[in-house]
Amino acid sequence: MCEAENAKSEKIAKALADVLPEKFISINRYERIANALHPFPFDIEKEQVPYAVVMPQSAEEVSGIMKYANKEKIPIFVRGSGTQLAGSSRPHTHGIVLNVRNLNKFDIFEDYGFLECGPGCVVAKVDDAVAKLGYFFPFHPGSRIIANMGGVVSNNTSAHIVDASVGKPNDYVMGLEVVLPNGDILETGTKGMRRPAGTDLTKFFAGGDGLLGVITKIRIRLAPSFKRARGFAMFKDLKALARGVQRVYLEKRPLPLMMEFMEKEAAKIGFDIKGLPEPKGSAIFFVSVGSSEEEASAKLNQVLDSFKAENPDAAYEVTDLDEWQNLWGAREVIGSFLMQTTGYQWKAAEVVCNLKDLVVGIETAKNFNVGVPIIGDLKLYLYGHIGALSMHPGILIPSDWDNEMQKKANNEIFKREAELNLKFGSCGGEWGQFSMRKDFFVRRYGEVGYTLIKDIKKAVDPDNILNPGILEGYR
Amino acid sequence: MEEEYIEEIKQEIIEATSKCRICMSCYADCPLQESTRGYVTQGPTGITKAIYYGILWDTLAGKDAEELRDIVYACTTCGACVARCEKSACGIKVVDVIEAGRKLLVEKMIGPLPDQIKVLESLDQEGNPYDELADKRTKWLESIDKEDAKQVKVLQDSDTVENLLFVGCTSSYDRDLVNIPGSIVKAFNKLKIDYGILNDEKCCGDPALRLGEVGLFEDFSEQNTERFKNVKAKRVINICPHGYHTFKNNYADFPSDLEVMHYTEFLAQQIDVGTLTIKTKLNQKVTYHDPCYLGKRNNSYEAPRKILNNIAGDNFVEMKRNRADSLCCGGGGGRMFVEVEEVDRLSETRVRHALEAGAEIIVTACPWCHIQLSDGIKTSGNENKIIVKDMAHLLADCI
Amino acid sequence: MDVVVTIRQTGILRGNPILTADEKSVDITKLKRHINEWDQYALEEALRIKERKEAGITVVSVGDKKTEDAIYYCLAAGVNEGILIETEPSKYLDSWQIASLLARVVSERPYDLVFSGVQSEDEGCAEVGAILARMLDIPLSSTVIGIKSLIEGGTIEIQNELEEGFYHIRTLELPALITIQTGINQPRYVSSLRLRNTKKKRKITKVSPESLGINMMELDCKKMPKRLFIPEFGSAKLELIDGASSNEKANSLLGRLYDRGVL
Repeated sequence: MCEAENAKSEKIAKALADVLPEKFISINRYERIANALHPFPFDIEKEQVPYAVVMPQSAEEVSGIMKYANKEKIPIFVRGSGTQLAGSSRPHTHGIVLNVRNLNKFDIFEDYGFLECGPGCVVAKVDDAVAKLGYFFPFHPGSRIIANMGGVVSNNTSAHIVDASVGKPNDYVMGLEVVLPNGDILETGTKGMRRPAGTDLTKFFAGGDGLLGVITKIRIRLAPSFKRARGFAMFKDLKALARGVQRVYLEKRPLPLMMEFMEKEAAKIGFDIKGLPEPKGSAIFFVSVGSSEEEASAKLNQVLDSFKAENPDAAYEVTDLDEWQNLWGAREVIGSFLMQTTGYQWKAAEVVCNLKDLVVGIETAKNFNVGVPIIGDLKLYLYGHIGALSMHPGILIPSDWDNEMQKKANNEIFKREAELNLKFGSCGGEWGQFSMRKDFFVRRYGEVGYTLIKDIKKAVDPDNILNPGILEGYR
Repeated sequence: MEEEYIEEIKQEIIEATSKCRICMSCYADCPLQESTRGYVTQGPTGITKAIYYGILWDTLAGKDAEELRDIVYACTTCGACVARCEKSACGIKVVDVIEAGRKLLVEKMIGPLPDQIKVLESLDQEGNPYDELADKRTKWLESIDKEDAKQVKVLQDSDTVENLLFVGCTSSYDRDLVNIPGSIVKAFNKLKIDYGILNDEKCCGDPALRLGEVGLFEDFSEQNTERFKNVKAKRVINICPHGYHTFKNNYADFPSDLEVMHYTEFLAQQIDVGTLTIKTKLNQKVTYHDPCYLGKRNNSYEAPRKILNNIAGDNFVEMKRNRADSLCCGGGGGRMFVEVEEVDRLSETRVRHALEAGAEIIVTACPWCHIQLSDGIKTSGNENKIIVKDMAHLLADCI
Repeated sequence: MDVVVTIRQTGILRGNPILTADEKSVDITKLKRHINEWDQYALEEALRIKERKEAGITVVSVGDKKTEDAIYYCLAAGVNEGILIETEPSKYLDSWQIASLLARVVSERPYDLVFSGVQSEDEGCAEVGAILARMLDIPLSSTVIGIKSLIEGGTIEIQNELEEGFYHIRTLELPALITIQTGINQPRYVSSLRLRNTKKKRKITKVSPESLGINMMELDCKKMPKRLFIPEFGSAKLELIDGASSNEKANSLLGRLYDRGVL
């Protein structure tokens, strides 16, 4: 690239060698590119390649980096594995990428009833460790094998877990250690089991979209694990499926931990791969929990009662674990199967409905791309976390579309998603509120809402050093 | 303007990487993740996209190119990413893309890493990567049990045998590993197997291919294929999983009627048909490290376990990460020949896994894993806690 | 800028080489060959100059027909022109003869710089560069470990390596000849495919000594080896010094060194 850029990289590396060990500073061009990648299929721009990538090991090192960045007016972009689906992991402009993977230690303090982990911990590693000890925590994104804890907390992403049953991830976050944009280190929240009444500074950063501080430690309550019961239902009519789900809420049923559905076309693919009989309709499968197997089963049957009222083709408790593995697996393989057989890329939107309009919602989601420019003729498959009234219309996009077309397709998907979420008065519950969703935010919460968050940002980060671009919207 | 064939390699890479969604699933399984080097390189996605952007932005010259080279040659080619992409994403043959990237760098005279150049020169001149003389390749026979050595048929051109034992470069030349072929030969002799070794064996060509020197690899592929055709064996039995994998998957004209087996597969089969019975049991705790080129890349997990279960019974303990989830020792992909800078050596991490499983012996079935793990034991200071043995060592003592 | 690189193709010496019938040299026809290690560094240094500025590189070598391989290698690596001064295989040529042949070719073309390796692996005389420079009547610097600056039509500033990590920096007026030391750079690798392609597409210029106006019968060998032989391995003994402590071992060793008059 250009000489000026190389010179800047070297200058930054030299200066930051006073803050963290040299082996954790990289100005290798390709490592810098690698840390600007994220799950959008169009190329990054040269202006987005960072000058340097740093991997601090402590809040003190993060603090030193922020102080330097503020002094030199160089933006800092914080990233873990870069799996966020609304575009927040891609640096907006030249800057320094702060990769949190060195902040990857975690400790489980059973006698305190909480665990503390760094933002760079891989979610599955922490989840598996707590599960082994008989605890549960609702951190379960689809990308859990590689997604980082920091991202889950910054986005408060729910994915499979039904919010209304056990809450969102941040309901379990008791406190944080944060580094503010000016380098100050802050501890928030509590070590006690009673959470703060009134102002809890945790809330500015947990679910904070990365706007106001760099999370360097997370304290999470250990909830006891539970026993599970599993259920399955099949509906010829998609609307009946939606009505069944509405009933679960309206009839005050104990909400399942997870409830997934696959529309018939999607189900056909998944079931075929897993050797299950061809589905006659759309499939819904769910997990109810309790402190005993009997309790879980009893709760499950209440949910089944709601489904049964809508004349399903099938509705029963799944006791055969192999059958359950196949059902769950059927949902997981759809995307990879379609990508591998068509050679296309799989891109889903997140349409979230309200309870009252769910029947209209599910039909609308099924016709997500009808009449939409660019993506209107592409094949669509519908599935999602219906228990949380959330749906993923997934579209197959040709891999040979050039960058411009890919960008346009991406824009159209988010635009349509915004229209639908506006229509239902909802908002996304998995991928954050800004970046590609900034337009939605402005329309949903008005200039009032947007100005408020901008003012808060300006107060805490006056020079817009931390993650600039997320709030402004994806470029 | 580049040569046409170089432009073709670039196109091939661009096409393969265009399907990538950058979901980062492959990163989850990449062994580089175990070292901080991997964090900054962002795993296989990072490596393949680095090659992609190098081509796209034409930054394949000078210092930039060396930086790319350093990343691309850090990969061990273990194949964990390939399995993951097939399972969870679009099924890109990631390692093939990385090898194509290496081919591009070699053809543009940027690769391989400086310390690997003499490996290629040695392959070209002496048919092995160790700068050893070609005509000393069967000298290992002088270092093993004399009675066993006598029974080894050394096959001249057109001699025929049922089983062609392909010794491999490392087992032939490495002074510390001479008891690997020695033990296999002892076992074969005891079992009265009809076998022989080539009088003029040459490298399978794996190091050339993994380093991106495709032209040199093709020479080995052609020469060895020709030699196999002349010998007319029923089966080739490899000691080294890299040779096994390369014969099975990378030789364009490998004779279709010539079976390829790893020696553990062959001996496990002998257990099945009852010709091999284990007489003495081992009463030390052993664990098995799955070599990537036997396990992950060729799904061969159970044959070595069958042997080990017979030898060790309850004393066989599995590491937490085993089979498809096994952690690469760090020796493949040309990394045997260079020191890749990383915080937390892969070999030391793997030794730690073995100690955590309670093992006193790590058994493996690959000469490179053997060397890596044995070094890892030394550099981590665990020499008085655990040792490495090849499956062949254990077996020869027990039958 | 025109750079000429003189290279030698040597046999790769491994194990016990076979000697020529006259026992004056190693029989190169029986060996695999490569470009002399020092010359590889010289070639790479020239290629790097070409990468930094507009330069034409010519490679010249004295050798038999098989030396073509070495020149094709240089062409594959990026050199513009390759010239082989073809001589009889297995005929011993000394530094004077080689330099004389090279001088004829080099002096007939424009050049700013001549590179040669410090010495060859098989002869180790380190003379050709110096003799050639004298024949061309241009300044010389040997054992160059770095080029600090190069001004076309002007000067070259080079580094000579001294002991203890010190360097001597010198400036020579162009045209000049420098002999290149190993380690000055990292030579690039030329792949099998690249070499194959080059052999198909490029041509080498071949000249005979006669066409240069040199009668090989009259070009005297100034320094003929008497005899080359492979030494017999003697009965050198290895004694491992033993002792109860480091002190004891050290004293034992000292004793032996005094006994042998080393100290």
